Amino acid sequence: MSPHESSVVEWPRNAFYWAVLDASALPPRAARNQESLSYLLEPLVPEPLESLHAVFHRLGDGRVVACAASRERLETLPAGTLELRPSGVPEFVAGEVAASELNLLVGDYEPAPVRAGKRALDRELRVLVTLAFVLVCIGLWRRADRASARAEELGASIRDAYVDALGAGALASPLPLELSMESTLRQLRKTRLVRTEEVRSNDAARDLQDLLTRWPDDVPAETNSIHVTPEAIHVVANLRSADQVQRFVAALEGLAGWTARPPAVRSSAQGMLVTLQFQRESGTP
Amino acid sequence: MIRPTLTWVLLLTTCSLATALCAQRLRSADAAATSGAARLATARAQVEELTALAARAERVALDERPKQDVLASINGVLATCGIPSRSFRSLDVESDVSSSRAAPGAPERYRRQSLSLLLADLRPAQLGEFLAEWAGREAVWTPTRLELTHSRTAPQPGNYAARILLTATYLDD
Repeated sequence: MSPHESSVVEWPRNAFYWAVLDASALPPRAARNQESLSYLLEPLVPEPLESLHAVFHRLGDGRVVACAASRERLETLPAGTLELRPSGVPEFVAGEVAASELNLLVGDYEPAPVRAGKRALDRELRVLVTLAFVLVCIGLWRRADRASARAEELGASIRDAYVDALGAGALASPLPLELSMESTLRQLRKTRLVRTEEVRSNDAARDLQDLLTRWPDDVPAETNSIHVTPEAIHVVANLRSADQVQRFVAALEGLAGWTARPPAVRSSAQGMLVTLQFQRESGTP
Repeated sequence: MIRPTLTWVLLLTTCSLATALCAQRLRSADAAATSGAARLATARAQVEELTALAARAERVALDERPKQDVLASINGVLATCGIPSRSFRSLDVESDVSSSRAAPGAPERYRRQSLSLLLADLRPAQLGEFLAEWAGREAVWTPTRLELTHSRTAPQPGNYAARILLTATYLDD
């Protein structure tokens, strides 16, 4: 006899009590519950249910076949038996269930090796599941570490950019660097991006420069004064002769943006004192 | 079939919680990195704008400039141009008035302050150098009035006394 054959025992079908139970009235969960089905079986067997050990197999349509054996007789099974099944099934369930599907060594009568095997399998599954989750967590953790490192690098780059632009003194400010930058930009925009018409002032130095570029080099003029204001230019100079006065006035007369008034000329100890006045033309900057 | 037991429930619950925490950590780190990239782009744009603005001349002062600050600038320009400090005679506050040129509804309001500077015994070339150096160093202060008077009694009779009205616009916050 092979080891497999000795571990599987078959009893004749009349060694068991058989019944087909109508579990359709039971709630679905109760229909799968050993205790509920036992209550349905109890009125159908001649012995007290406590003295029997039953297994149940669903047939469909809410019907369940019950197969029960005496506990006393189950105690007589040889040690090492792994499976106890009937050699056949009654005619009223023939074709609906195979005898090999009915193993009575379950529950309280589950053989120790089988139970140990199940526990080992359960243990291995727990280890595998835990390992899988650990690997996932490690992966997530490492990705988070990389993302954090990247965020830190970016933070350092931002800091460096602001410090390079604002100077190391920005670090000593109580304001965050972003706010310091925003404040600096606001100030620069206010002081640099200003509409010309709002802040333009007449530049007397430029007006003087324009005047002096027209100053005749070949007319020896002794300048008493030059006044440049936003509205007018006054030049008072001493010249030797009327001819020089004429050439002097002619040279300065075409000053762009200015209208020359008739010059005032009078005699002086040095020759001729000429006063030139220029009025700024309206609309001229 | 192995039915779920309390051990399995605890195991799966613990593993799920741990995974959820790790995932949340990853989400936070990813968000920080994304935000950092956006902030870096903003920072670079701001630095670019700051560089461009700093290269422009200051057209309006942020605040009223104290007379002593302007005096320090004047002394600096005189030194740069090689003009003796004795040429400086006076610097007086002339006016500080509200500017009427701001457009109606414009967000900014301006004021104009004017200082009268008197320099003496300057050659025309020295005056030209002073005005050129001043324009480069203090673009905010514009000479709006110049009065050059030929001084016959000065140590150098051919030199001029120059009264220069310096005007600056500043923000009236």
